[in-house]
Amino acid sequence: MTVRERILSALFAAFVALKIVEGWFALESWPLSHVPMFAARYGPEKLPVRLAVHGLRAGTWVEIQPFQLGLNRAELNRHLLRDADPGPACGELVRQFNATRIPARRFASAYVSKLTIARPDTPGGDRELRSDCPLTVENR
Amino acid sequence: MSAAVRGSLAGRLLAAWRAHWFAPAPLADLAVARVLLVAAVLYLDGSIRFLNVARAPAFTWDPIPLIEILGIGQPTWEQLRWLRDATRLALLAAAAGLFTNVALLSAFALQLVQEGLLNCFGKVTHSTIPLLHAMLFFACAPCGRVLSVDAWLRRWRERRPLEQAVAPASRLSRFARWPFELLFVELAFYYFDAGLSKLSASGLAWADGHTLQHHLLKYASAPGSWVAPHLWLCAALSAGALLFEVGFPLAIVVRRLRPWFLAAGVCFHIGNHLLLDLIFWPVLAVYPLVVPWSALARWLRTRLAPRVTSLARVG
Repeated sequence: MTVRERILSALFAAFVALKIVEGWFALESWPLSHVPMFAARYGPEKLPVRLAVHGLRAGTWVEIQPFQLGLNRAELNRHLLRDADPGPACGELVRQFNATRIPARRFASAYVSKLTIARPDTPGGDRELRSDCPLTVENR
Repeated sequence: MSAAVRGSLAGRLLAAWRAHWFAPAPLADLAVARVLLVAAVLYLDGSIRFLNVARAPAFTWDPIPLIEILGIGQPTWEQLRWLRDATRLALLAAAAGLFTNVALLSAFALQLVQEGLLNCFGKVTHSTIPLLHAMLFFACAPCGRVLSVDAWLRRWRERRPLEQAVAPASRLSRFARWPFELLFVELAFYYFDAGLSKLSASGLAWADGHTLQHHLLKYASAPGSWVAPHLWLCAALSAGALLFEVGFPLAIVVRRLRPWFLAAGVCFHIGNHLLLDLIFWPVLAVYPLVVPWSALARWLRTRLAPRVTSLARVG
């Protein structure tokens, strides 16, 4: 083996070892990742929850998409689920949105909808809980 | 075990190791992969996803350790535009094969920082990690030796005749194979680690169908809503995904399995996209990089040439 081959071989072995360690010890510090997406098990007793932020603009309620708030859906969900009541976190986001928009584009009111979805073949339908998003700091 | 047997076993293992990583391979494959890689990264960076980092609410800023170590705060729009332009310049130079390795290494460093910034808002994404690693591997490989401005300049400096001014793309190198092999290791462990995470967090019960049903109901895509009520189908799809993920490393050593696992990977990602709205195309973009383009071209020539000739005769 040439010196170059030896050096490269050592690097390959180190890389393979890193990949094994990443998975075995569940290292999760980007760009190291054991790719834990969807690893948790959700048994039949755990019901899915869907979150959506709605805003009132020009007399019409519309769903505010996560990207409008500068986040993707996963980031929005994570942010809203930090506290038991997602209202204050939602208010913070919509206030920030309003602060950077012309008056005609601002939301006059907002709420976050937490929809708990029933599994097929289980009694009872979907349940929706709504929390107001305070749009003035005094309301908090 | 005698010393002679141990010696011959070690010798065989060493020979297998050398053949795996350092068997001569066409430099043209590296050059094609270089261009495909740059095209994928340029397409990925074509959107405003990095610029959105400046738009995200400041109170959601939660830097990952890498960004914290680098001492970078939430950047401004102007800083991100500068980073984007510098990355594009480096990528274009790499695609043309101008100062190829330096250009690709610079592009990797810039891309690493920008991808890191994207992960500073509470949600870490994994889809671009293999593409990032590919940039690093190719930056360390002789991917600018043929089909590049560097190759042309080298020949020109050596004052070779014009007809030899570009190195023949058919040239082989002992160092042209390892980037593909290492990239395949990266892909294999990317999936294997995902499977291992599921097994260690949930055991085989992960594949009983209830977990996939949960996600399908949550994301509520049209195909997902059709699959969700059929628990047996959810279980079959989960078991298939788990088998695919934990089985992928087999293809590192059994090369014949690679096309099958790559085809299964395409189905896996398309399925995830349709059912769960999960777009992992940057992982799929790595697949064409591990295709042996020279061998494929040779195979096509041998298959198509007789047909073309017979068609020409008929014509």
